[in-house]
Amino acid sequence: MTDVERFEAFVREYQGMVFGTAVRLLGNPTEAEDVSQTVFLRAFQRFGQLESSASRAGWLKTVTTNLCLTHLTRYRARWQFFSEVDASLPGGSPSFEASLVAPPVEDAEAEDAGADQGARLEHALRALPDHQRVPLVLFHFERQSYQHIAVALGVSLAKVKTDIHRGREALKRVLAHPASLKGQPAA
Amino acid sequence: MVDLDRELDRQLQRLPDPQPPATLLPRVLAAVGDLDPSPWYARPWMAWPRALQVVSATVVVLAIAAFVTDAPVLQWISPGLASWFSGMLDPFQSFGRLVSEASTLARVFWHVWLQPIAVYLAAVFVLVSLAVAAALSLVNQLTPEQA
Repeated sequence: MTDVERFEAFVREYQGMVFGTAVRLLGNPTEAEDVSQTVFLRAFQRFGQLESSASRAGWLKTVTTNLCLTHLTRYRARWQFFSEVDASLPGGSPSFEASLVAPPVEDAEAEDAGADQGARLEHALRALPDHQRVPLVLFHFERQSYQHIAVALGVSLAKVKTDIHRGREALKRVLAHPASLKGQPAA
Repeated sequence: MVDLDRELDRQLQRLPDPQPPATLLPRVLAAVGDLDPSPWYARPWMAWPRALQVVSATVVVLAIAAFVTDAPVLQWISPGLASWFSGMLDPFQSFGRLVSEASTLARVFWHVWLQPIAVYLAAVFVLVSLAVAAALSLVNQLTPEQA
């Protein structure tokens, strides 16, 4: 088995994890694919060491997360601006439905199925605004602490807790009222 | 509300990884092909395949060990190669012999001729130096303030 063949098997094994992490952090499949490609290129450059390493999955997750956060940095000003506006609104965040965007094309099947709660939740997760989705994904899927997330995002601990709480509230509304996701116009 | 919280946690934990697009793998492989089309020996050592890194490191260590211990490794591996290598080293060995002979000659000259009279030579040198210094001082006193 040549190096390239072994690397291909490596990509096949981990592409789901890398892409899944990226798409949940970025909320955009196209950007997630770009970041995933960059992650695997970096993996290839150190494939000799990575191939036999027991912590290769952790390495891939860390690099993916860091690249996604770097990718989001260019939107960080906008992100924080909307977050502050969100926090200053009387009564808290605007309705979750108002923040929904049109579902990506690849989610059409899940949308049509309707009854698939997991797919709805996945869609709702991706539709969350960046400042709620990113800390929520880091907390629930990457198992990072509030403190670690606050440092990684460069925001206060209180803001991380608030954003995660609001993201969870929005997702709970989806669980409680599944129909709220259907037929919403793009914001 | 607590039930809904638990249900949300449960649902989030059960979410499978999203399916990567079918275009991801071909994109990565194409990018890898563009990234480094050079053969292994043209890449930095750190980018060599692991097996070649191990072999090359072993060869270097053995070569250094053989040099340090003066082991006739080439003679063991290939007598023909050893004689060719020896021929390559001939000019250096001749130069080394010349340096060695010159140093031997210098040592003999020192031991036979210079060392027995070295003390006397040193004493003469010191006395001559003192005499010259005294003479210069005397001349300076005899010719005051002419300039």
